[in-house]
Amino acid sequence: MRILVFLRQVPRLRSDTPLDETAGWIDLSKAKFDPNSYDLFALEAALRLTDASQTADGSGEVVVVSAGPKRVVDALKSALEIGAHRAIHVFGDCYEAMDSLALARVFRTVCESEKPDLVLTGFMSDDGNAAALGPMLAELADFASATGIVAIEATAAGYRVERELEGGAFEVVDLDRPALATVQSGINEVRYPSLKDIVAARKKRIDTLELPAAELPTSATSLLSVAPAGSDGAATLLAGSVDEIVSQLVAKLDELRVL
Amino acid sequence: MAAVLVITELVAGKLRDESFELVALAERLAVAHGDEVVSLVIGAGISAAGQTLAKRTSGRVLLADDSRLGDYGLENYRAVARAALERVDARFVLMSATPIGWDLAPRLAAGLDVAYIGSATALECGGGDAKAVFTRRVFGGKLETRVAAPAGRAVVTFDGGAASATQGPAQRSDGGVVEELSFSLPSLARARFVERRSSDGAGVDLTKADVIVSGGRGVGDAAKFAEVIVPLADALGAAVGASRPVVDAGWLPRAHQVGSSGQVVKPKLYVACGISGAVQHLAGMKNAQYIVAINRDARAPIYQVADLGVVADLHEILPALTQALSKRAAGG
Repeated sequence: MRILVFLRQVPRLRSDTPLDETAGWIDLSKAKFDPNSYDLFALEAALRLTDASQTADGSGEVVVVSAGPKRVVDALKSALEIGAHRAIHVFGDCYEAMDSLALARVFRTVCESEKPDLVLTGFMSDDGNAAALGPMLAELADFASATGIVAIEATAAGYRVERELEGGAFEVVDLDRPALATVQSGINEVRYPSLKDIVAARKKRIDTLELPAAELPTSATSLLSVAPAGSDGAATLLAGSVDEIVSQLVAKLDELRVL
Repeated sequence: MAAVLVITELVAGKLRDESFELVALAERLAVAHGDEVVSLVIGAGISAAGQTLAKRTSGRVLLADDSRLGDYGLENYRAVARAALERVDARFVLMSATPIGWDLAPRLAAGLDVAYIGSATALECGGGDAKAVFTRRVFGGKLETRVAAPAGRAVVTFDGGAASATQGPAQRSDGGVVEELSFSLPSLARARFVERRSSDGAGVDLTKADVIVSGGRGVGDAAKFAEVIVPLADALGAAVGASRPVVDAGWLPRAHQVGSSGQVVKPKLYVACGISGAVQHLAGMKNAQYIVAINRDARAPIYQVADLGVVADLHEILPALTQALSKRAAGG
């Protein structure tokens, strides 16, 4: 069983992160980056599936893929330390500004050469929050797909997944191979690498893939502006010492007749 | 004539409120572009829903009524959407940002090779180069971007509340026409619905609570949650809620989660402690009658919906508040 995990490296948003008005995004030049939190749950889910299959036929392989400039190698290395078997770095500066559809086109070429049984990726990214890359890739690669899963197990024909719906409801879906699923947060507890894992990761392969400029897709969306999210009706802020704030809160609770 | 296609959604045989909001948004897009509005209703035994919708839109209503469409299945619903897209020249396809929208809308966009704009919160229709500009929240709701589709075609999902209820289409006399949509469903689905199950048996019903004290990641850890959140809830006779990161981390059972994927609550009072206010959490509590937020980060999105805010360390405020309430209860 070969599982591809698409891992995004996302910028950390701090209260003093400057915005880049021309790009309609945050200024990435001084940003620090982390692996996308949802993608780490996807990686862990992939490792658990291959842990199980390795005991059966020893054929499990998790390949982690990320697109971006040189710095995404950091994210790939972390994934190899956590337990991925191999990594592919789709190298280029153009990827960080690509929308989901363009990135899905890039990753389709990786799917075509790797021929995975299963693709796992995060339900959404911590930065763009689009929740679109996975299902778009599934459409382009013609894979069965399910979004926002909270459980997955291998079956004879493919995978049984559980999708999270609204209001505490879930939906069980069977997917034939090859399949793609996007993973919700909290599906598992992501393992920490041991020192041994970290050392072992140094011997693992990171292949670099550079697409010819003519093959690079373009984004179908354009960002016009970015700003701090607006308020619906600005909250009244309480000020003062702890005691002063507490007595104002108690007065408000009195007024609301909840005491 | 090009069209704005609205793919509506049913819950227990009735159209979701969000679907009526979509029709209102579609009518604005249609006016700006000189298009017609076409709505699609998918399900089993849905002619009443189709009639209801026809009374609230001036456009056409396409009905895909089939016993195999009662439960959502990606390939069946996609086949129906494609049949509708063959019948109308859709400039925009609108869906709601729900589990069905998340699953289907990006696939439709990729299949059509058009832009996808997910979870939009607002629509601007105006002159200029971009006749339609969509607002969407990013970085967990902390920032807002304005996005356009330069080629003029897009699949868009909207969050609930993107059009206010008052802007929604009213009952009208020039009601739309209901038409049966012909389609064929794939004989072999590669994604098969097995069953639906619910975690309602978990015994925590926050929807009936008058007061909810909720904690988020900012509380720190499970021990601190028990130390500061639970005693305040006890002092207020309140139910205990939590944001997603708290249940993901296992500090509390998932049954306590407030949000679009957890419980959607409307208490008299909601006290949000150390909760930044991710979009999905806000969707679950923003209709509370009164919201108090306690969070050190003044830019936290929770302050977008709060009535009263305390930008301070909750570990100082909450124990003092609990103590004040206990003293009062003891008559002191």
